[in-house]
Amino acid sequence: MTSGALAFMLLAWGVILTSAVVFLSSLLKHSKQ
Amino acid sequence: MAEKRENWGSKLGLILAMAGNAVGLGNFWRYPYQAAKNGGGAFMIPYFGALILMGIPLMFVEWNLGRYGGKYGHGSLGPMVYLQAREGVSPKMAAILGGLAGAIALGVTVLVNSYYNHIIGWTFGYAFMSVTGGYMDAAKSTGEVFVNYIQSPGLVFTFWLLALVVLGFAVSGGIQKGIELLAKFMMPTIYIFGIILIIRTLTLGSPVNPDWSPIAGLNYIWSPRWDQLSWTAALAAAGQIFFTLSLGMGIICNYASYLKPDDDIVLSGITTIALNEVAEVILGGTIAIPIAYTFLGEAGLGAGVGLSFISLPNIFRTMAGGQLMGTLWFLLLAFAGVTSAVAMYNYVVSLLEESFGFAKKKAALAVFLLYVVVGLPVALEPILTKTADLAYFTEVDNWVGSYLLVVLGLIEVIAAGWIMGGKAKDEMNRGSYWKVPDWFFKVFIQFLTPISIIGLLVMSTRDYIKAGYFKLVPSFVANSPQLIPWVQAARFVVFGVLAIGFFQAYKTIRDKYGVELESNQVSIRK
Repeated sequence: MTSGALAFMLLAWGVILTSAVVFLSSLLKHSKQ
Repeated sequence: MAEKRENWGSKLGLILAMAGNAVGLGNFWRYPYQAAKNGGGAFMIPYFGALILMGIPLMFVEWNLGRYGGKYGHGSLGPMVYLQAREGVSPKMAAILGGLAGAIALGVTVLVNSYYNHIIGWTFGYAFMSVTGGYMDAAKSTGEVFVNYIQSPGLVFTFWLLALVVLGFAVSGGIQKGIELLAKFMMPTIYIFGIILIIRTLTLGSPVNPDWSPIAGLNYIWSPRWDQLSWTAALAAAGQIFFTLSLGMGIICNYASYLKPDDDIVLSGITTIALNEVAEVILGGTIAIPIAYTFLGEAGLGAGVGLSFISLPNIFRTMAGGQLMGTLWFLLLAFAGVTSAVAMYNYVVSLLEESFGFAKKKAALAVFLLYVVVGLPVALEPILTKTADLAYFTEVDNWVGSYLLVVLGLIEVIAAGWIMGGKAKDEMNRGSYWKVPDWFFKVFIQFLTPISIIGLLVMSTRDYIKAGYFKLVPSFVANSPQLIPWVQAARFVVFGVLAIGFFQAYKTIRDKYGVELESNQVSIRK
């Protein structure tokens, strides 16, 4: 795998996974429902 | 007017149901071949651009539209759009806009499910065949197996009706005991199956050719091939964003209508997107393409829609543990399909409840019968014509699946951003843990998002005209005269459902807000 492709994939995965964890935990902790 | 509406039972249940609404066949079936076809990494750039320009703003708009409409007892788009539009234009004009939105939402939820339920049926059928070894006989190509399947009335009707029964039962159970329960079971299962499939995929090695491996497949998807960055790829990426997030269908709004008036929508909306992207970019992008690349190389990625039902079964035949992999793959597809189709089913049910006073179970049965009727041409075309072109399906999908979604998205964002304006932003932020900033509302929802959608519509229309889709006999059936009546029938059905949808939505608005239409002044508020 080229370094460019690997970097792009890891960046996208990192942003998506981090967002999912942060958003979901914030939602379950704080939001009204 | 229905004063008492159901509500979601828990935050987790709501967010899993919303994520399930968004996570569908598009994540695992459509996304991989769109990415492969449109330049891999080069596709991902407009994909993320469209997510930011259209996906995120529209998700906020739809959650807001739904919660606002739900406060007035509505679960369908016509009255929802009317309620927002009347804040900036006259009630008579707002009713016309509401009628248009209601027409498209009914069109999408009836017509997309006319073929979507069939694909879910195929996935049930293929999961069954994976367990029983139904496509494992190497004497028959998997292409032949697929054609035999869609031309076999017994298989098609059994699994299609099974899919409809599952959906009908879930919707009949109501929001908490039906849809929420289904999502709490199916959504974690989708992620677990996805992770198992990824682990197996990444450990396949290079069984056929030393240059073909799962890592080479990932390299293919994620290498930006700048020479392939084009308008066509950008349009495909933008279309995929609508598909994958279930935007422009009315079904996110419908689920949001079951929120309480002060429930969070901003953080919930962005969480829905994040969970969907995990399923699409990480799970969806790391299963089908790397498997296909490992066994077939780059040439195997050109299978397009046949990737899931023809190419992958061919691989499952030969790989170690293929039957188990096949079962997990098709069950994953089935669950993803069900959690989205149930949202479309529920939209039509809630429309019957609010507009015609149907009880839930009666409405669910009526929609079951409706889906049988509108799904019949999709089932019968290959059986009667002995072809596998699926012309009726293709024509309906061209009009409804990839065109009308965008028009409905445009109406929604115009109603919120341009007509309701700042009040829409205040409404979004009410009760939300995170707020939509003023600059975001002005830059995206009032400017970039509608302009991008208009651009997408213009460019898509140009492409449709170029490809000959608007001709009396469209290009894709020009050499198959026996399929032309099926295409014409599809057009008749599409425009028939849209016309019925407009009059139904307008009538519902007139029934509830007739006083406002007569005086042309807003007087009913909650």
